[in-house]
Amino acid sequence: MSFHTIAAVSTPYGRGGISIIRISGEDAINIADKVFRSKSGRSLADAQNRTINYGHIVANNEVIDEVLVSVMRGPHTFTAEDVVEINCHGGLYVTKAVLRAVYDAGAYPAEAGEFTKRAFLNGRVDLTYASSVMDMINAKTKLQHKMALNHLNGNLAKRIREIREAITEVSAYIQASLDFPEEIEETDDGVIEVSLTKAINMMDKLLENADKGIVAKEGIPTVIVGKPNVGKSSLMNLLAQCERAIVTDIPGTTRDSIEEVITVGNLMLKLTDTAGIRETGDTVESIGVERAKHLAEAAELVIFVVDASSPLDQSDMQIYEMVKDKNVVILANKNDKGTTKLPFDAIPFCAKTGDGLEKLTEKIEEIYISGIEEFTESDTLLSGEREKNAVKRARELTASALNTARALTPDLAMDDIMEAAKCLNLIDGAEITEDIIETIFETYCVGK
Amino acid sequence: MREFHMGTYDVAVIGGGHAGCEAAFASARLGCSTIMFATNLDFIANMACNPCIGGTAKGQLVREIDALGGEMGKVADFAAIQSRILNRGKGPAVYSPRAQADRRAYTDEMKKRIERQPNLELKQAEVVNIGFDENGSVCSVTTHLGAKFDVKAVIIATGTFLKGKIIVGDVAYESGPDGVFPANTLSSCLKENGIKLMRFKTGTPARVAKSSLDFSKMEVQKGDEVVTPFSFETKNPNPNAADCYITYTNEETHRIIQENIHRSPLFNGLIEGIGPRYCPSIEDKIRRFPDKERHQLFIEPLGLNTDEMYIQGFSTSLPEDVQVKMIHSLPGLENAIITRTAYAIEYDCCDSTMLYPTLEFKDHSGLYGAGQFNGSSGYEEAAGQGLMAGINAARKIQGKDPVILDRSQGYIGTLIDDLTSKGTNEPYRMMTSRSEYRLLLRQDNADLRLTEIGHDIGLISDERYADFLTKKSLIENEIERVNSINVGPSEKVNELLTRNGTTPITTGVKFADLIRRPELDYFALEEIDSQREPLPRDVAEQVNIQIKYEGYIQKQEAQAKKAEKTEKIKIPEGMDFLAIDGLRLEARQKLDAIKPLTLGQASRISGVSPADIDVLFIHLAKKSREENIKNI
Repeated sequence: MSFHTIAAVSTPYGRGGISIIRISGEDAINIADKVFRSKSGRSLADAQNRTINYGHIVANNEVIDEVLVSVMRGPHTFTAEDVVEINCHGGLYVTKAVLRAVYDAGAYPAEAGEFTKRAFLNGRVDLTYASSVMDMINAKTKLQHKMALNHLNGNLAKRIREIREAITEVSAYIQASLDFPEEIEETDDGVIEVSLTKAINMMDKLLENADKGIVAKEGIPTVIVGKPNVGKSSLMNLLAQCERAIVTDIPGTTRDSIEEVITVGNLMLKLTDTAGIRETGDTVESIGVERAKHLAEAAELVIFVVDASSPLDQSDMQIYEMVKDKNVVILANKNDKGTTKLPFDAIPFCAKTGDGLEKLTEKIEEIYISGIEEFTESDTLLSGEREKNAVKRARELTASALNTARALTPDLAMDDIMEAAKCLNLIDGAEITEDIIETIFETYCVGK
Repeated sequence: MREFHMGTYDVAVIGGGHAGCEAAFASARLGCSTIMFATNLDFIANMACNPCIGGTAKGQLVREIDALGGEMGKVADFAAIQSRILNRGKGPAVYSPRAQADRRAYTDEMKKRIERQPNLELKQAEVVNIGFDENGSVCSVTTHLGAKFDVKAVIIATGTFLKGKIIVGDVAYESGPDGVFPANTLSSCLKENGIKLMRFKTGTPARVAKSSLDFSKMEVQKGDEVVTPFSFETKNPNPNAADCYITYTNEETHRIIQENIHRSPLFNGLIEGIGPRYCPSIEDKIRRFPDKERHQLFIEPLGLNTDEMYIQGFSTSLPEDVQVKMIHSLPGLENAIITRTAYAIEYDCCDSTMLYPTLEFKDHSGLYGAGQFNGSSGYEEAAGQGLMAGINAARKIQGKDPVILDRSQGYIGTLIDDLTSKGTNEPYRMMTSRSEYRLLLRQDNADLRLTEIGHDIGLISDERYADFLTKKSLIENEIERVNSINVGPSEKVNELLTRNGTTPITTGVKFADLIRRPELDYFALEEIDSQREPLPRDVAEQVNIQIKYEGYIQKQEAQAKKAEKTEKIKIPEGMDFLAIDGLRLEARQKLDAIKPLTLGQASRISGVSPADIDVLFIHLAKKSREENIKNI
């Protein structure tokens, strides 16, 4: 049971012009203050309850976004805790950057359903929620189990193990020398310096490649756009039949969106499912265009579908204008029913039969493979924000432990070391405490 | 055998060792008429193994026992013949007091105090039966001679006596420790009543005659110049009166052991009990660490009125003829006369997960366990449990709420939580590594942590409590004063800083920040602190530690505060864990077996995951709200 201050994007990811990042917990306001520079110069701690404050999100002295921040103090909030909501611009990049700044300032990534869980436990939502909260926890457990089974038997798991071993080794040494001062001859004080430095270096290496890894492993954010009835749903269904990728990480950030991670060739696509959104007859065209605009803005890859069986119209061209400068693959769907001449390159496609799928794959690989080839060969990559965040924290704590050990005494460094180990445990679910005691007895000849 | 009624008491304590004594004192002092049984009254609080009290984590335990109103610290101070603080070169969290004790003086003093304790009677007898009434609550104990005592609570503190078996090489015989009779009958009574027993093993090294040793071949180990007593009440601790010595094993010792290893009872199947990893026999050490050229041994006096000495680090269960050769291979012990042979001892103990954190058996109202019987090891661990079992037995009889210390309050709480929530598969020894709050659980602040609780319980006198409050306010005032001073970059100040090897200052700084510099402390800055009033040493030390390590201490305090939230969420009695939807099967079974009292305790059970705890938490919240609705 954790009572950390948590944060997550609480609006559907990459959909809509505004994203809201919600922070909840004791330190919510403090954490927000670390990244927020208000126009008025007043900190959020001094802001009145239930106010909206205008300013900027700043991280590493760089302005990330112009935002509105609402401050709501507990207990009269959704979670009954202090809550801060940052309204930022909805683009994927900006949203992630703001979220990352909030994590760096001390918030923990929210687990799936955690806001609701807290709201329930703090008496804010009624009993009928109890079973749905439990369902969410169980779904998460199953997912984690799957993760542990599938995704952590590669080199990443090995790296995490190696780091943990270095940390366990040093912990066992420190603990043994504290608990058995008369038996441990303290000739090898270098152990602490060497092991901690080793662990820090290994974590640095993991972090260096983390961002690339996150794209490669989380999947390339992809949307399918096009006018209504051009066959987007059929395409979605077709793609969904492709081999389902192992879902390596569903950060709390995506909990409300409906996303499918699929593999296409050697790549993973994180496909936002637009099929779930109803299209009504009347305002068909405006909706189609408006939505395409928002979706395309957020996505890294756009699959633009046109109906090859009828002539293109103005809407098609409007969408084309919006997406043509992005990474885009255009499909001339329904090629079994006709072949309209197109003013741009398109892959002849039939979502019903799957004709053209191979070409589609080739085309996407052509766009991306050159960029991340080197990573697909190796799986020593952190594959999600949550993991990256955990390693980053572990690294900071280990560095702080090393400083303490140098300046004061090793026993004082143990807190940071144990905390670092716990961060690593978040990645692969291992337990370290018993390990240390085991290691003490395996490594050192202690006891009277 | 004809049974007859011999008396009626509130509490019966079975066993007069370190756990039994504390249990009996606590119960009697809290107003319960108490009877303590021991198979031999000349072995009250006997130190069956090494003649020393305290050490890492154990010294902290003794000071906690003292702060709660227990007896061990005072008796240890009375019997101390050499005192040292271990880990002086490390952080204050791991400073650990340790004292060599005169073991006869310890026994005699403890017995004297028990005899003078109102409400408490001593009885030399072996308890062979515990009686239960129709509700399954404890109601009587019966001795081997048929004497029956009606009681309301029983505390089992049988140490290594239950079905005790001593093993030396290929010789094995039924015996308690130190040649005292074992207790062979009680085990079957416990088993008949559904108490699961396990078999543990421990051992003790040989004792040798001092007059036969050549100390010129050993290193001497003296006590500290300034003796720090265990008890916060002891004002004039005993000066050091004896020395310890250090010698080492050598190639010859290792050769003798290796050549005879086939004669070890560990190989011939005589030993079935599980021994502790932290207390390996010398043959174990040599087998597991073949590259280690020598092992350090400490030669410790058993007392001032005896010539016997204890060889710490040389525990073995090899045959006696091999032991003689082994000992004679040690520098300074070539001609040693062996007064007592080393032995391994096996005994029955209970599965401690059958106990609530109050140390009461979950399925047997009024029956408590303490000490080695609960699977622990060590005098201090035993005493801490005895104290808590005594307190809780008395409080139950008096209809009061139990006292459960949590992990952030003391090693006693940590010890009992580990035993009752996780259980143990070897004799459990306390180590500072077992605590996540090492920096909070220091030996120096045991009184600050626990005196108030001891006073509330009724084991700390008003007088001592008043003294404690005075000390506490002296500390608080001095910390406040020190935090408010600023220091300017005067010549005198910078001279002192330079002299201590730290950078001079150019602008004014906070005095407290100077204390926090690695090269400095509160004491080193005395000459530039003109307003300083003379303070007792322990007060000044407290001020120094609390300021110097403030950041680290606050961090652990914050963690403890977070943990407290789940510790405070109570699980109602009789909760049907097996029927909770959404819990994994393993978690249901584990929870059902341990029956945790709080969500915090549940979270420490192995096999129960954080997600299970979430589910349990939600289930509890749902239940309590449903009940609230019903009540409206």
